[in-house]
Amino acid sequence: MDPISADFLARFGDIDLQKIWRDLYLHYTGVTWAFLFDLLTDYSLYLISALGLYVLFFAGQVSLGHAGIVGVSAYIAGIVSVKLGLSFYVALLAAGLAGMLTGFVFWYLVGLRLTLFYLAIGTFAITEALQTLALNSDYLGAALGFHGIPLATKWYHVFIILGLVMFAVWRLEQSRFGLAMRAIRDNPTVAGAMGINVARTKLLAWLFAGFCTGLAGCLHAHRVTILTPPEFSILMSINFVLAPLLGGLRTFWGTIIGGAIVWWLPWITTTDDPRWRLALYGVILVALMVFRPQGIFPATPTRTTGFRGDQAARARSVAPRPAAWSISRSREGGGGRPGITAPGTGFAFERRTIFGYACGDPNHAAAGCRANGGGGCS
Amino acid sequence: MQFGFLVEQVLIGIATGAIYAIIAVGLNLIFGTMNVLNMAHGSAIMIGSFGVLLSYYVGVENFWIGCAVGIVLAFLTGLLVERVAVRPMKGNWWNTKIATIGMAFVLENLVTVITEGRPQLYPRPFNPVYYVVYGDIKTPGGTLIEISNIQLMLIALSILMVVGMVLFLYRTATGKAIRVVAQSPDIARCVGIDVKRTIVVGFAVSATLAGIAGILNGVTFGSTYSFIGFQLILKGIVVLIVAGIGNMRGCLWVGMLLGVIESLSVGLGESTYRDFIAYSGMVLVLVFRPWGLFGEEGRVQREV
Amino acid sequence: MKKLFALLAAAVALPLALGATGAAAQEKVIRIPFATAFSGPFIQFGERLWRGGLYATEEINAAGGVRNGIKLEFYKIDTRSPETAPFIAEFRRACENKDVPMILANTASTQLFSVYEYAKECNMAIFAPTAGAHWVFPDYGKWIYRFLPTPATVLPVLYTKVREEFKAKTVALSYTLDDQFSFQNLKVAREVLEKQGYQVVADLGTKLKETNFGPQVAEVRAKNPDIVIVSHQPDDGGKFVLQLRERGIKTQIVDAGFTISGADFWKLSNGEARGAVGFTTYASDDPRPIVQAWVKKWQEKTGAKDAAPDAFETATYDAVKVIAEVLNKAKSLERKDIADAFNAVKNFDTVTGTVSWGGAFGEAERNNPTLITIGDNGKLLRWPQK
Repeated sequence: MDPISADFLARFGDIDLQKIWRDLYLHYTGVTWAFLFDLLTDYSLYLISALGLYVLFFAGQVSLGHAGIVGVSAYIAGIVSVKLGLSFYVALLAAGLAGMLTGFVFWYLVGLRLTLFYLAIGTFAITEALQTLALNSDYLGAALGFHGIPLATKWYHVFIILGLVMFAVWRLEQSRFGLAMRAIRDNPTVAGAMGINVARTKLLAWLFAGFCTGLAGCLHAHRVTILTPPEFSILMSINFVLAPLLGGLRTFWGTIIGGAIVWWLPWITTTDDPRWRLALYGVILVALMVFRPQGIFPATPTRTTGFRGDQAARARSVAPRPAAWSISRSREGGGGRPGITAPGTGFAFERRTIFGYACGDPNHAAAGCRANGGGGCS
Repeated sequence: MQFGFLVEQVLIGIATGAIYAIIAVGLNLIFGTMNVLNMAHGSAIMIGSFGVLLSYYVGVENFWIGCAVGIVLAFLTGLLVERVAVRPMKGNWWNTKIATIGMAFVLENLVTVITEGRPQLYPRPFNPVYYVVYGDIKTPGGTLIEISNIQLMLIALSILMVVGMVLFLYRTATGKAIRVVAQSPDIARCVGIDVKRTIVVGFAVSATLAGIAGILNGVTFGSTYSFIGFQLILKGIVVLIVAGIGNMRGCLWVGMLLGVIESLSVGLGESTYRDFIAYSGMVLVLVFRPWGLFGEEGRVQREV
Repeated sequence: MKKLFALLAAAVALPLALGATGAAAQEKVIRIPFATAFSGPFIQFGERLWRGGLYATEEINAAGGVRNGIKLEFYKIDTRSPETAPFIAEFRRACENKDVPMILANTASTQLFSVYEYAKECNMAIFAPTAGAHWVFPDYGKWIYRFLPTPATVLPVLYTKVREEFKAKTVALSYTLDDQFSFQNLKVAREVLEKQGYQVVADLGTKLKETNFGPQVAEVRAKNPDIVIVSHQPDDGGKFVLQLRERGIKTQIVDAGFTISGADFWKLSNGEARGAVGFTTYASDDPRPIVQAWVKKWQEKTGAKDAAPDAFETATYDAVKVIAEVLNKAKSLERKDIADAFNAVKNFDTVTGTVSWGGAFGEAERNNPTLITIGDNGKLLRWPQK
């Protein structure tokens, strides 16, 4: 019975510092511009999917099954390219449409009816089910993978599509759809009362995200030329989720920076001892949640006045203001974001989620936040 | 012969489901207290099971001492998770969920590095003995329904734990305190309950249950590895959702149901779709009855 | 925020600065990238393979290195299996770096397929000692060299012998659904079984790292086949056999690939694996001195006096020895010369038998792989025992 690996103990014992620095040196001098460019291209490909997920988070739709959309569209792209023999651009379009279709399925099954927690679990379950289907399909190559996809993705494809997606997301944020999505994210019941068609806005979010991610799936398929079901796992989904989580939901640049941290940090820090790569993700997550849960660019900026410390206690000592609701421009920065804001509630709870209001906001509590069965206060 | 064979699969499924039920009960406790899904429950399961291996590694080859070590370690893990990933979140369920995922990652991968990810053989206090329920043991391929003492012990323990949990929640002061905190921490403070301590107790109890589940899993199947917690907690979540949050008895039934479905899917020849059936079932429940088979309707609000 | 950026900047700048000092102290050394899964779900294989290679490297360097005194060194490349993109990027980096003479890619065939197109432009030898799947491309990109005997050549021999020895007619198949290795071996096994007239009475797929084989065991008991063929990763196979034997089922276990020749198979079956039959690349009671020397060395290094190394560590040990041989015989350290040296390897003796390359494809020509059975303490013994 020896669970502890002798190698682990040995490595702790004799660490040759000279060798470590030499290896690091090797890894860094082995870095050429071409290699960095390769990584940059991979990173941009990752960003396209991450931006799709950002749009979903932006609309309040938490998805832990993003890898499923990437997987489906990648396989469709592969089928179009290999079995149907059509051109890369046709595959691109087909993959985008497949992504939209998958987004629609997600929306219909879980996005429409469920709130945050159940939504997350539901999306995860759908992706797992899809993975099992792919594993059983001989047409898709099952466990051996779908090989033979032509190496058609060039670097400019990735950058152009990334640019287009960034532009589209930016326009979406600024548009009235973006406004509607933010309203749904903050409080869907009230948004519905204000006349926003919640179901349709959510559908739009899923379709948009699905299309962008579909494009990424096609690019991925034609870059690695072989697809196996195990690669589209919960780990891939968590990689995508980390980007908007780190980046915050005020602007899509947050996802880009958050994605940069999530994607590049393992390359920089764990290439010499890769065993720790996954533990690093965990550390990032916990540190993020402890120190800055709202992300780098928070959706609702934290008040700089008011003191840190037990905000909850302070809030308790101050009677919550009577419902001086104002359906108007928020005073808390950003430009004209409607939504229900009760003035002065910002200070009470320092701990914000990336979605804005935290559960525990006294006004929300009065509205029976807990009765949402953990579904969140949106 | 076909029928007898299916009955056998059902029996196996019930025993497997007993483990899922114990895990779901632990998860339910946390969900009840904190309204949050504790993803780090899986790491408590794993650390509990590895505690036994650790005690064997340092030379103490007694299973029961190892059990105690495992349970204590799982208990400590629960406290650690609460302190690091839950308390700083100040009740924000979304942050807590993400932070517990992070903790789970860290703990599981730490153990992976130490053990090199290798599966480990698990010591057993006694060897499994099969009792014949029906049929003739001498005819190969004939109808033979057996059940082992380990399986019986599992089923008994899980029922015991569910009953114990229900008693704990409804009869003891701490249990009642946990239920009040689950309803509303503010009201709990009003009536003088120490919310912080209650939450800590909730995590500790749930983690102990997890450790026991981990040890039982190792004993039943003879092996464990560093991601066993992750694997089991997925099943636990399925049970939780399908049964409905907050319902302990539902966990028992649904847990066993899940085990039976898995076994039958192998028995009926569709072994490769085992997980698919479980997850589709969960999605169906989510679509049509998100408060679970045994839950109350008001707990989950539909949005549209 | 500022702190985070400062930390990142330091993380990048510090090694560069230190590297500048490290550059001064250079000895003659050949560094070859060793690519395998060092993180993620397959970490257990990565570490084990690295160790096998390490033993060989130490031996070679202790004996004076290659090419009259140059030390051989491997450095790690994480393929993050089952991901494919990181390995592609690392492969291209290795290609770019002219100091890298070749790459030792201890990966599954999936990663190999993904770099196939890039390999054509790269002109650098890729040695893949643990990739054994059915090769789907028309050529090996001229530069890919494989090492393992493929199941397609061995299984017919194995199953014929099994039929002779055990008079077997009916079969239960137990395999891992989502593992490329196991699935591939299973496919080949199915074809061979059909051709040889066996009858499959049970088809039992499980997912990777499954712990609960109860339902599968019940199936086996009910259908009562003559043999059970396992096509799993070694650890899953071991768990399955343990649960099978516990139930009192004594059916003979037969391998379809490299299930039983991994160390975990014996370990996780708690000794119940004794008697299982299969094929692998070496047997520990093979009297050849090279085999016995390796077994002895392994026993010293790991302290396990009664056991013997498994097939994967042995494969990597051999791989490194082959690399040393190739480096010694190559005309220069240019990539083309190294590839030519690979092609020129003829009947080089390794623990796993003689190996030659130079055919039109990059598969190795091996002498007949060994049929084995599991003996005490998991040792791999020749089968049938004479």
